[in-house]
Amino acid sequence: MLSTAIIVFRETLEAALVVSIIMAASYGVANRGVWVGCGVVLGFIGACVVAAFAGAITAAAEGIGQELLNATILSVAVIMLGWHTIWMSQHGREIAREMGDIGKAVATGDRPLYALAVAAGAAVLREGSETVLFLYGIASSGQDGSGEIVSGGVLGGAAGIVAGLLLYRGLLSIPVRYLFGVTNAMILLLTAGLAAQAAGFLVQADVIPALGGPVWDTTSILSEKSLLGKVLHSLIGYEARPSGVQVLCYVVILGGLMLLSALVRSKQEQRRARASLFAFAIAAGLTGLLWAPDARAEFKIRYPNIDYRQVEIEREVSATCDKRANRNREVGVGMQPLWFVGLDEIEQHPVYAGKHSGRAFPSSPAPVAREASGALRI
Amino acid sequence: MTVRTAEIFCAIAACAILATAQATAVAAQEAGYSLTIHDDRFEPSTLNVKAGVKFQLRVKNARKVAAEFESAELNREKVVPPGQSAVIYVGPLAPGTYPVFDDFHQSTRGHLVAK
Repeated sequence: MLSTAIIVFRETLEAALVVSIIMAASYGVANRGVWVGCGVVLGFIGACVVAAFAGAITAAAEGIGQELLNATILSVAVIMLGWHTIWMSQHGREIAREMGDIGKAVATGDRPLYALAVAAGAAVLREGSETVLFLYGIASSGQDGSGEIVSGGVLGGAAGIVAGLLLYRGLLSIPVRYLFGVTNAMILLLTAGLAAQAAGFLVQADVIPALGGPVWDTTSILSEKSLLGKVLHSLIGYEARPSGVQVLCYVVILGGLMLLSALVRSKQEQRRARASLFAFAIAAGLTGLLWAPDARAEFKIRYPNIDYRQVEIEREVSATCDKRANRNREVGVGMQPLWFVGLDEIEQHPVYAGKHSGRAFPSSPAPVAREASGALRI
Repeated sequence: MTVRTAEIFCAIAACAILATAQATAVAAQEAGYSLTIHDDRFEPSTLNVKAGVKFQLRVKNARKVAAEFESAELNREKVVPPGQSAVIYVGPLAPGTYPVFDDFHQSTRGHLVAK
């Protein structure tokens, strides 16, 4: 019974967290309960249908039907939540002001409730179908008493829902003025996480390339199987071992939504958005540096021969002193009084005559490497 | 919309693409491997696979109940209905041992060994 409860709890938790964020994000809107409730119920019915046809879905599309379905469901949720994010950045400020003035929850405008309802339904459908399949399997096999299954399922489901309610209560304790700022940020991260999950399914189905990976491995620090890992996976898309394309999807969706939100905002907010985007770009750039290849000092450190505000475009630039490489073309610019950046094309000789002579005799076309470089002027 | 914002976004995208492209490994696809989930074990319990290439893994569920093939190390999970086979693409893997298990019956465990 306990194992049943744990598995049902894990799956319910993921869906419940998504639904509670959605409920908090639509706080104060008339009929939101009906809309989101309908989404959840339809999602659950859909989950039962998917579980009933699990065999056919698994066999579909040469064995990758399940992944395609999951990726589709997740993409629908991403589109709906993305649309909500953009809509909110257009109207969110007015809503918060009105609510703050009156000091009460007021039904404001025609918020895209259908988008939130569909997203909630997608979350339930995605997590629910596996749970239903699992429970149905045990129930039909009779390896566990049916009473045990029911109590285990109910216990696990209830625990997941309680966790969702706790998050909801916690969010509602935030002052109304900041509530939508917080829920918008949470939905933004949630959306990026769902997009990364969708990419993961498509990699598993070999529809898109993995683009390398795992990009990082934090299993030893925070396993995805642990409760905290699971919660973070649901809320912000935490992955202990993501593939390259998952990271790419996450960054592109997050950056794209932030950009689109900034576009529909007021002048002042645009300025603030630009500052945060800039900070984000720097963070992304620094993260990118982690995977940069090791520097080869002999080639990279050299005296910069251009000055501040100068631009150089050179051909047949120089041969290095060890004759290992020949710099063919170089484009550079003196960005700052003390900083130079450039792009080089380096021809590398594949064959060397020997250490004593140091002369190169290329026997085949020399491979050409292109590299970006920067140098500090001392 | 300012030009500046667009530039920054392009910079983000470029950083992300560079970062991921760095790690990209182009590998030819290999023939597949098979793994069967029985009531109490994987068969074979240790599956030897080739390192450095992407491959197709066919997981058959010989149980009477649904199973979920899962591996945190492989970053893969897939539900396999009773009596069915599921196709999963894995790798390219670095040489090493990768534990796999049935998430619906956690005592059922096995290994993939990439060489």
